Amino acid sequence: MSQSLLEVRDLAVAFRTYIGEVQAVRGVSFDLNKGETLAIVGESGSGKSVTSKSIMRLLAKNAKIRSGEIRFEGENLAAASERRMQSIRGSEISMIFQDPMTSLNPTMTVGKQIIEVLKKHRKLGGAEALAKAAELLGLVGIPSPEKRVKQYPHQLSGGMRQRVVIAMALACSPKILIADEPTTALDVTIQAQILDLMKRIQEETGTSIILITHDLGVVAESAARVAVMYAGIIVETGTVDELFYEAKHPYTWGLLASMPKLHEKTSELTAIPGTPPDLMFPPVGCPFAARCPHAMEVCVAKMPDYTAHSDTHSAACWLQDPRAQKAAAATGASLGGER
Amino acid sequence: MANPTDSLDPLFVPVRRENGEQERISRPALSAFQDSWRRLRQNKAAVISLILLGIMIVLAIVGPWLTKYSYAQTNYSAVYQSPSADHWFGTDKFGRDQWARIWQGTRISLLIAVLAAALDLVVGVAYGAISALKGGKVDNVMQRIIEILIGVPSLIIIILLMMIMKANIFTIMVAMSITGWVGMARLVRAQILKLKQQEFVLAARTLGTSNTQIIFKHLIPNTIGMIVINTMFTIPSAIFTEAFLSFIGLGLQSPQASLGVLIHDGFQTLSSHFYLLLFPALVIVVIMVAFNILGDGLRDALDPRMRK
Amino acid sequence: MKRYIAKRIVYLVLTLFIITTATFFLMKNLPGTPFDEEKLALLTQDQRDQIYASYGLDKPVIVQYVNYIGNIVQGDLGTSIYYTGQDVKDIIVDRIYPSALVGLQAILLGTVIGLILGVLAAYRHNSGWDYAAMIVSVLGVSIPNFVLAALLQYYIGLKWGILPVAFWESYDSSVLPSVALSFGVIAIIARFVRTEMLEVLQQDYIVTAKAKGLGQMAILSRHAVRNSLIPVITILGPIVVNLLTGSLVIENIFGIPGIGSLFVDSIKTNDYATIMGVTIFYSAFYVVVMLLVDILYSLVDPRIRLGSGRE
Repeated sequence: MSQSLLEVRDLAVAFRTYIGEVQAVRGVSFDLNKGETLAIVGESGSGKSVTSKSIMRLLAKNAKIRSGEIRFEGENLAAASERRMQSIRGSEISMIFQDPMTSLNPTMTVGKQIIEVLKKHRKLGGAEALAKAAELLGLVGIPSPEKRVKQYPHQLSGGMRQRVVIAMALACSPKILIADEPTTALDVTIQAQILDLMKRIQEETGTSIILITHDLGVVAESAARVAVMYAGIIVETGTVDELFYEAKHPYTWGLLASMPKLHEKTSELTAIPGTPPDLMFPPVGCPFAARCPHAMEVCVAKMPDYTAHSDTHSAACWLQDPRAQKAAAATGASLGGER
Repeated sequence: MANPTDSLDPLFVPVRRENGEQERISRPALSAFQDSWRRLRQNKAAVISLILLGIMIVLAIVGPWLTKYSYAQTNYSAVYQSPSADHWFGTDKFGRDQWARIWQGTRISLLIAVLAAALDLVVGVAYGAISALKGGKVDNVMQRIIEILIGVPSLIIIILLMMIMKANIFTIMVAMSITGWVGMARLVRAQILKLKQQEFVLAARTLGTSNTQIIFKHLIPNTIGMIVINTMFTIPSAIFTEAFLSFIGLGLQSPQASLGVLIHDGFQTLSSHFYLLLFPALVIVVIMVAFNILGDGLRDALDPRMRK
Repeated sequence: MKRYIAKRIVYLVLTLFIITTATFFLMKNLPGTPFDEEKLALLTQDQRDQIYASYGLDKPVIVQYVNYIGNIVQGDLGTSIYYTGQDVKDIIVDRIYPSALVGLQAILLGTVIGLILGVLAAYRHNSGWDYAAMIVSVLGVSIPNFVLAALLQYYIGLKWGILPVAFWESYDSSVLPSVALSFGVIAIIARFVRTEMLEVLQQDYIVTAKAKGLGQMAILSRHAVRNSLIPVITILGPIVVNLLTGSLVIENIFGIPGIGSLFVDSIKTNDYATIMGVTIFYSAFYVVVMLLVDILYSLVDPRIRLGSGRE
């Protein structure tokens, strides 16, 4: 962890709702290095989006960072003033959202929306800003950008709009780009183009990327490291290879098993049975215990600590405890890793 | 590494699990109606409005009987009396008891409004539903008619109609409904067309559900909330129209009583006997406010997304 | 766009034609006559026939109807019977100014206050501002404007004597009626803007704007307020209608010599030429405003292209 750009430590976020408090993120820690892509994977409600929004401090009014630190170049963003955050957002850290159909203001030309960022952070104005906006649109692969800057979002296709959103995020060459499910709302062919674009941009600018997704296919294609989130907790982290070939957590196994496999003959999809726990009353033990085929009494009783398997790979699961291995050996049950 | 605690040792055994536990739904399910009712009860303003309306309706029914005077009975020895123990709301220029007149008037105004709203509802829902369900040419022709009617300034038409008809409860109701149903018809048509496109209706159709069943199981239940809400707003606007007609001299006439008649009469003696205007004005405002707040509350309760 | 407007104009003409026809035949069935019955009884049959003939009333109804439509097409609304011999068109034109003054003041006042209230209410959702705005808007739609006008007249005019209450004397005379009329406008606009802006504030593009590092004020003014104001244009139609009907009684109450009071007076005197004239004038005004509102909306909102993508 030589040059961490971003260090998140024990982050906890809760939402107030009219029937109670939802513990959306319950103690999340990870690092982001310069120039790398970290993927955060999980199903909806796992807290991955909330985590990313916390970094930008873009949480809804009823959400609160309960505890933890978000250190960006040493500065704790969790405690930064709103003013300070405004100067960081869009300039040091940028964000790309899921749905390009709704994330652009429909009554403003795309050019103006890009210029807004340039004006705010780079103090560019007039013709200079317009030229830069067109240049950015060209950079993200939009043909005839001079014409496009004067158009409204509804005149562009979904893929084009997502390119505009990316151009807007890149306008001030941010150090971190957070992409929250950037391809979920797009057609498969467009998805690949957008992922390629992000890869190319990273190679050219050296930006670090946090990629939030539920799609392991996207992870395999574009990330170097992966953190798997479940019920507000990171259950396993590792490099892409470690996660895909040496996964240690039963939830990760389940995720991998539920991926559609084009090259295999079976046409069946394997689903993980059950639903995630209600985070209004989070379980004391491992949150996955209720759905886990290998669950033990201890899993329900106590949350496991992380077990490190390499410098980059660790998982929070009681199965990694030597006592579990012994118990399994005694009963002759097989313990996962079958992939 | 995990921190081994001896007390945990015995727990390293497979967990016993009841069948089906994984699919258990953790919160109780509420029917749409129960859910709406719960939301409405949480809305304090709506509950208060409901209670106020209840009181107003009860007074409109029993109010005139609570005093020994009848609403039309004149008494020239007791004209323009201020509110007193004998005449709770005072008397007018013919010595008629205002308490009796106000609740009689409320009764008539509410009656006209409810009847007009009911007529709008029946005509509007039928028209809108036929237009949407038939579709094609029928819908086309029916929509053209609506497009023409929507351009008609309705109050002017109501005024003209009232000029040639003798004002009574029935004619006022009819005049108000001549253009009043158009709004309901448009809403119902739009809603049914929207529903027809939706996947759950398509799904029902694919499963071979008959048209009648689709109408009763899917279309009506999903339209009824909107119809109720719209009616809740039609009633106060009908109360307003009735009062307006009386105020410009085209509605009911004294000695008959309606809130409009009373406000009209009260306005004539505004500077000398303000109470003659004040009480009926208060009653009409309370009723209108209560209906509007209740309508808002119902809208939020029945469909939280339909807030326009 | 052009085709859409052309289509709308066809409907507009059709609507006006139907209103005119309906009005004409309704007026033919009017009980009573606009003439002074007592004086009429003193005249000989010949003299009476002469008077009827001078208004074209001796001809069969269908001929009268054709003549009337023919005259309207040429811009002639006929002759008033109550205001003997005066052209209905001239009477209306004379009375436009007071109505327009009061109406425009009410729109201006109501829109400005309504916008401010609505924006504040949404921005400070569930705060004192919000509740105040909601109370004002519920009262505004609930209190009949003639009741409000009467109350204003009693307190401000009679009891406290701050402003003139009746008679059209100076500019001051237009203040109270404008205030009375504006209350409904405030209510409609405040409520609409609040709902609209609460909706807009939840949109993804507001989060995008925040993620760009824009400050609270920039987000509000450039993204939230702007986008919630555009749809306000759509309710200008109902507001104008509200003012028209409001003006019928308000002008009567405050003694303003406008079109509204002309209409009410002509109803009371059975002056059907004037009733028809004003009805047609109002209806034409109404349908034209509705059309202009739609066209304006399509010009302001880049998403709307009339005649396509919308019913």
